Amino acid sequence: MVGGVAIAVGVWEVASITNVISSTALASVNATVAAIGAHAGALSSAAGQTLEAWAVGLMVATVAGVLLGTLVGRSRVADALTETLVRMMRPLPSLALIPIAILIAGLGLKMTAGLVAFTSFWPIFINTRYGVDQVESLLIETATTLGMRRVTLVRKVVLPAAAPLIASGFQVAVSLALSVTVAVELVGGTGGIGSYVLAAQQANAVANMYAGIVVGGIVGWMLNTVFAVLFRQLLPWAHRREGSQ
Amino acid sequence: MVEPILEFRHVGVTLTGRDGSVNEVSSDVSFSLAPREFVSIVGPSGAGKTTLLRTAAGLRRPTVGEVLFKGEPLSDVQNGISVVFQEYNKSLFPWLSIFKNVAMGARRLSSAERAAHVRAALDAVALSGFESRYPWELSGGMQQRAALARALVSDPQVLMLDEPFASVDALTRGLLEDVVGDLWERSSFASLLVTHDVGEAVYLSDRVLVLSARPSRILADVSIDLPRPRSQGSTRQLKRFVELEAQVLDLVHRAGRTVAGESADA
Repeated sequence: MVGGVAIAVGVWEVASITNVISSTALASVNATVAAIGAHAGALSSAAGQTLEAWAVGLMVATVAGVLLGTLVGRSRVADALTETLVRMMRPLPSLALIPIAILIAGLGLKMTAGLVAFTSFWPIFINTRYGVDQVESLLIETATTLGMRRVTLVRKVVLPAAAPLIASGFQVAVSLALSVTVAVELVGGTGGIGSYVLAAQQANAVANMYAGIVVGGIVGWMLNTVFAVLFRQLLPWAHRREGSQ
Repeated sequence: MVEPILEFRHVGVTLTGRDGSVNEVSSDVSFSLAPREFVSIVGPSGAGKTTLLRTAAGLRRPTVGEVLFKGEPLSDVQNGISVVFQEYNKSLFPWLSIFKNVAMGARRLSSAERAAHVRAALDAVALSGFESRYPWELSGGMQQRAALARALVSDPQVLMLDEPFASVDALTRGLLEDVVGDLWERSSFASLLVTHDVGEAVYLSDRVLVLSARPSRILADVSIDLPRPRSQGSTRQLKRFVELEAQVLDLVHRAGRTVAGESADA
């Protein structure tokens, strides 16, 4: 992993020194690192704003995705009723919804978080629906013979059994939500890393622009790592090697 | 005569596939299980043994006829009936420790009582010391013992066993048979065992019911007059055991042959 990062930084440095990409479009590694140091305060407050919108949107998407996914996964009727709707809504590019979101929520956190929620809802919803539907029927029957019904059955057996799939949907949503947050900030100018990068570009502060991009990348990497480690700890049976009995 | 704990009255089960295909699994099955009795059901492949056991457990309703539990029609899963399935790896909850898996069987007890009951059940199947392990960390035989502990922790009146030892090796299988036999001797539950292993049925049971091929009914009800307590070493050497095993095996083979041409399903 460290090797991969080193190679990427090397390619970046070579591209910058050899002027393959002009210096008005590409800052050197040194200049970018210096800019991160010089603007640490502004960058961390931008990262904070981005994380806030990301977290609010993702939280809404998770609650809605798991609830609705469970409902639809457990009920053939709900599945049939929503299938067409899901197929129509899912491919909608969230950025195309920015004008509607601005009309509804105005410019700001609510608008960004709403679009993040809309986009990251899908992988969570779809994985939950699939995971809930795929729970081993013997596991359900066992729970039934142990006297579990409806809500208890879902809470104690169906959701834990579907948890590995829900978690992988959530991990997709983590990255997706961050991309959408930054993109909406870039387009809407609502603050955060996206707006920071946009402002730097408009001011011709190329090093600052790259500083923003690098910080965004680091934030994304940290979020992915945190959840990967967390899920490995929480769901050990999902990561065991098959056939180990 | 003692009132049966479980009774099948002219039970027929017809399965309807998603494509609308209709498959009559059992046509007319009648038998009863007395309290504390150990009865096994054997029969050719595809005779619907497992379907009958699911019906007896209340997981499926009979298409015709009725199942009585303690004299009342059984229409759903009941307190007092526990089930152990063949595929322990799909019936234990992988996200729960062995202790918590077994505790799932004692959900009706107060939490204070629960811990003591779970420990006793684990002790009874020789799994003390493995409380905090996870199912997938244990061998197949240990997992099936955990499933057995979970079924027995609620102190059921009937223990249903669906091919419980079919997924373990022969040695483990013999040991598990004795675990079940000993628990049955020491407790007060009746047991209904579905198995394709005739020797196992004879070894454990008071009576062995032989099913015909599909659509099944009961061809024979063989009393197993072997002395108890039984043990793998001595019981299986008895001349009477060998006779009974041969007799039941012959019945099963004949049941399978009657429809050899028309029943292709396994």
